[in-house]
Amino acid sequence: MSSDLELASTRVTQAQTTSTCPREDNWRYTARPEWSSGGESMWMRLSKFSYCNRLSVSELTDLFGASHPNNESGARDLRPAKPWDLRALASILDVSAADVQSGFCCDVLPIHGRSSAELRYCSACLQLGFHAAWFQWLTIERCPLHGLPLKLGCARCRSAIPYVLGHDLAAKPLTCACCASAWIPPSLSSALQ
Amino acid sequence: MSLEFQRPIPMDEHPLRRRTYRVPTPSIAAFRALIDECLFLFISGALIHGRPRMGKSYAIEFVRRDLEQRFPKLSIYKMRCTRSQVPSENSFFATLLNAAKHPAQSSASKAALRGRLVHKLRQVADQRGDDRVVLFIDEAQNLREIEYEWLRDVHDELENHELRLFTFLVGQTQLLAQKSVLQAQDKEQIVARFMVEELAFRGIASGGECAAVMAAYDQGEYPLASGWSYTRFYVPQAYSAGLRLAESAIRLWTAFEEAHINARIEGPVEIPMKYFTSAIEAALLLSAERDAPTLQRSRSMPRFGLRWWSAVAM
Repeated sequence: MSSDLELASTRVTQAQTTSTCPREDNWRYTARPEWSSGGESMWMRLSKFSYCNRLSVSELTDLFGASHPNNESGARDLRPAKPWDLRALASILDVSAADVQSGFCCDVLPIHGRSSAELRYCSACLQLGFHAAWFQWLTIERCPLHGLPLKLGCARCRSAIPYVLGHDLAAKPLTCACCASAWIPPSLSSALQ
Repeated sequence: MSLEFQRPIPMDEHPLRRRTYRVPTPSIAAFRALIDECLFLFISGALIHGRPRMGKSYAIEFVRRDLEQRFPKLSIYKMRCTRSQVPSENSFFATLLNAAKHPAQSSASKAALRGRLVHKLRQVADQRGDDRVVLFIDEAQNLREIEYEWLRDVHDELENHELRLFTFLVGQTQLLAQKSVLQAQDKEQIVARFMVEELAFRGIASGGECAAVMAAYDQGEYPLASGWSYTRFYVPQAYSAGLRLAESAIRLWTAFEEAHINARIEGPVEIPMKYFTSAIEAALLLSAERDAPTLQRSRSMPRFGLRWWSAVAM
């Protein structure tokens, strides 16, 4: 008779009306804003987003409204904010408009030639899963937090790392496309994976 | 008309008229108790089996909403399995991603889809602050062995991230045979994860169960906490004079039993939920036009019940 007792505590309830629209607001990509911090570059934010959602480069560029590919590969420069849909970035990455703005280089330094087209990074920051947009500025030589010189290329094979949203970032985020070495430590990558 | 009999909302807006309400049954209560037991004892899977049209899908929706209310932090998903000629990992994970409301297209590789799913489940669980993830699989008799293996991968990956997946397989009675086959083949990795507990999901199977379900119409209110039970809403004068649906239960049950015998159906009487609720809805809707303190107690209901039941029995 236990089922009857349970029944007494459960009453007729009104069902919610089922929506006919299959793509409501609660249909969302996986965003992990808590895995990022203020000042983090869009390269790092999109790398983490890519980890979670495994989208193709064309899906990513369509999603974030990036126009005008840099070259035939369809890669998009991550330094200037202008080509990107900043609202879509803020909404999908679940971050503030200010965080989106500070993820690009050229909003504060609009001179293209003074920022690197290759990833420049502090190896200590990268170990923590962090990269700042202003590391790309050629005028910055050292990480102000760790005092380490900013580096170029994969730490293991020295291959260049283009500062773009391209196939490599979509397919193998935070991993070298040439030697397959991970740029973040196993403890952090297991959290991401 | 006395204020006592003035309904608080127009009749067209009532959930019974719109068929947007859900009523508990003894089997739903047992399903609910089974879920509670699994969550409490960390039993990772159970199978719920029953004949078609007994209200299993309806029950999933009921317990899902009930769980949402009682455990608002829990992640709850529901997927429906369709039988395909050849099992496809892509379509399996795409269905699960759809259940998780991930908006991406399913054109990615299998590994990408699986990674995408696990990340989505982890993110929702983390955001909600509960390490328990509940998955209802409707029409689970359509699952093939390889699909259980894919599900096992998800289960294990979530476990690696300290999340617990509770899977409730809901389907037809073939599920029991499938469990036996898996056991005979020593597929303990599947049985021990997804088929630990069993529950037979039945329709209304006794006069007492009839009365319990009908009492829910006498007690459940709409608008909530308004004092207007479903029965009172449709026949306020008769209700005021003491009419309660539950008191007609034995008569209705007897009528169903007679129909069952007349139709020469084998086995014990078991009324599918859909036909049972349809009989009550018809009785309430039609009685509303003839509401009076002297309204005879649900005399029409057995007739409607019989009509529905006869349709099935034929």
